[in-house]
Amino acid sequence: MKLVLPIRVKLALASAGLSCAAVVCFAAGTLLNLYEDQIEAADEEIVAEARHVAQLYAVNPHPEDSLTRMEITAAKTWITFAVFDADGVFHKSDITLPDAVVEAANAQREPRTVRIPGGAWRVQAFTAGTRTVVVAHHLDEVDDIIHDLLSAYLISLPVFGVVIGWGGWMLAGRALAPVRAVTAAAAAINRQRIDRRVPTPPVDDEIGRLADVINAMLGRLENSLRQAERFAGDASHELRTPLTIMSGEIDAVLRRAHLEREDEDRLISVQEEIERLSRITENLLLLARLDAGAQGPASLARVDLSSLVSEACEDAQLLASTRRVTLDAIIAPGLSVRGNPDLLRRLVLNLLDNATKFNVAEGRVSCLLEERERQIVLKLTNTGPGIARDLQPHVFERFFRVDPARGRSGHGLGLALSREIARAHGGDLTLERSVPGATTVFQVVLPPSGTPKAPVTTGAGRPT
Amino acid sequence: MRVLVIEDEKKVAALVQTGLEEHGFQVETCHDGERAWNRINTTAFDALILDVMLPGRDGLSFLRKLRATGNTVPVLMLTARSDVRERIEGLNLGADDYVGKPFFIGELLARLRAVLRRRSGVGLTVLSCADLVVNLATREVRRGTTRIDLTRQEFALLECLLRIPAHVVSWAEIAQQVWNHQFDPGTNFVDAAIQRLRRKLDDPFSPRLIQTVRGVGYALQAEA
Repeated sequence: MKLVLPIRVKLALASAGLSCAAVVCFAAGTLLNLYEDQIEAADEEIVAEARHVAQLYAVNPHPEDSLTRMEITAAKTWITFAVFDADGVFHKSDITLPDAVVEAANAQREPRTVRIPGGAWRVQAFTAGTRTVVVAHHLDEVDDIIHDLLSAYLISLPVFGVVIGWGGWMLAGRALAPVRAVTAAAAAINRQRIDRRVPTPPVDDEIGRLADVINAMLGRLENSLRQAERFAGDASHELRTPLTIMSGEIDAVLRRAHLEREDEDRLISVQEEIERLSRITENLLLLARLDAGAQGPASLARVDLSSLVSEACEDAQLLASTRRVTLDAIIAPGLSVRGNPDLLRRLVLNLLDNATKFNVAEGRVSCLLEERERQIVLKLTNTGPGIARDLQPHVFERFFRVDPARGRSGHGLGLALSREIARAHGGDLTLERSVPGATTVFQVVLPPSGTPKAPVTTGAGRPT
Repeated sequence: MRVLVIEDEKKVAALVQTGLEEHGFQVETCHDGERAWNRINTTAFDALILDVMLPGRDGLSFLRKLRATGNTVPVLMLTARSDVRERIEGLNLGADDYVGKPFFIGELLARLRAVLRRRSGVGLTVLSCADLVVNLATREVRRGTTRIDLTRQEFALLECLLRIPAHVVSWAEIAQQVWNHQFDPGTNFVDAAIQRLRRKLDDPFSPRLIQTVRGVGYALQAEA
């Protein structure tokens, strides 16, 4: 599972990380520099001391006899020397230099740093006449300085990191606040509130431009939704009048004229088609209205869904028996939702119609209505040819027919409309499964009427 | 009964006129609000049939003007079938009832009669034919002294056949009345529904009431 961090956190971590890395580099640099400088200084002291000792011995071959140590070493406790004969015999030293140090010094003429369990020394060997002078500078102090500084850095680094991180987090928060505002405002705009816009921040920066772009897009969206509404209204009138006239004229002829049986049948056939057109028109326009969010259930009425489904099943009995299908229903009593009873009835009857239609002789349809996990669930199961796997994702598309060859009843809008109705009521309609040759299950979920989140609007289509 | 039909679509107006005249109404037609207004102010009508979709949305403003001048003539609106806003607005402005387009003349007749009955103070909750008595309020159905149990659908079907006396109801009318646009009934389905109703209503009794009028539809009247 990928871990997704909010931008704020990422920015805070990044800025803390970067600053800490910079500080670490800086610290490393200064520490190294300091160390180098200290070593250089020590080397200079060594050289000076070596000269001093050499001079002493040049003047007096055995200065130790007459001079005090202090005079020799000029009272510096951190620097010491050892003098060796030409034969390598140790001659004089004020404090005992560890052998390892001496050996290292004698190994080359360059200054060296020697670290032994007792401490660290910077040491160099010089030739003074016949003697070899080894001067060693104790490095404890240098080490201490470096250690102190390093500790200081190490302690302050995490503190520093936290402070920078927190600072970065705060700044990011402030910078992102307008983005959050725009996001929240955009999320609050849906079909019912399409006339609203996101707030534009006073500054004309990236976020300001983002808000402008979103608002322009919302404007276009609102326009097209309004157009869809207008289309629905205009088309409705335009289509209905001719349908009324056609229907009326044919009705008049059938009543009055004495026709041959064949002619009569033809006119009745035309009547059927007009009725079908009428139905398609109504459904299409209803769909357009639901799409535009304008229709929305016209009332926030409490609908006794248990009764509605019971009655629908009763009504569907006739459907079922004409198709030789048994219909049984298990309906939990007292379940209610908020919305439009006509639309809900249409939803249920459409599903029942499908279930009995796409069935086999002696087949079965089961209708189950219950409350489950604080949702109202209507489950319709039917036997029958089912829907092929690859067609299943398409069943809710408009004018989609599973089997175009199979009779011309229906017009492919039923499921699209049913789903829109379910969604307009705050729920959904899904094809749970369909096993060709076995069972098909459609399921509707709806929020119970007690739920505060009722998405319905008034007929005017404005805020709930 | 004098009825004024205010409808700009001439064919629709003609259809309504024919249909109403067949049932004994005296019908005049007007195709715009102006002319209608003049007619109303010179002649008394018993009812108006008003298309709300008159050009320039004249329909609703006509209604508003009508009621504003204190004219209480019964008004039956012709509206778009699923435009709830229009309907509500019309009823609020003072219309008595509405019929959605497309409509069947039977439907319009039934509603017109209902409006007129309501206005005259005569409520009609009981419909009857021969020994059949149907109480629309209690949904009680009897033939003679025997109570008959009908499903909701069967009751709706019966009501559809009964509401206009001696009117032959076409299968398409039944489809729209009883099943609206719930699904696609088709003539066979309507036939099946009628058969079921017959089994409950006619078979055990006499005389037979549900008549098939070939080519037209069904009617409820006692066999001659």
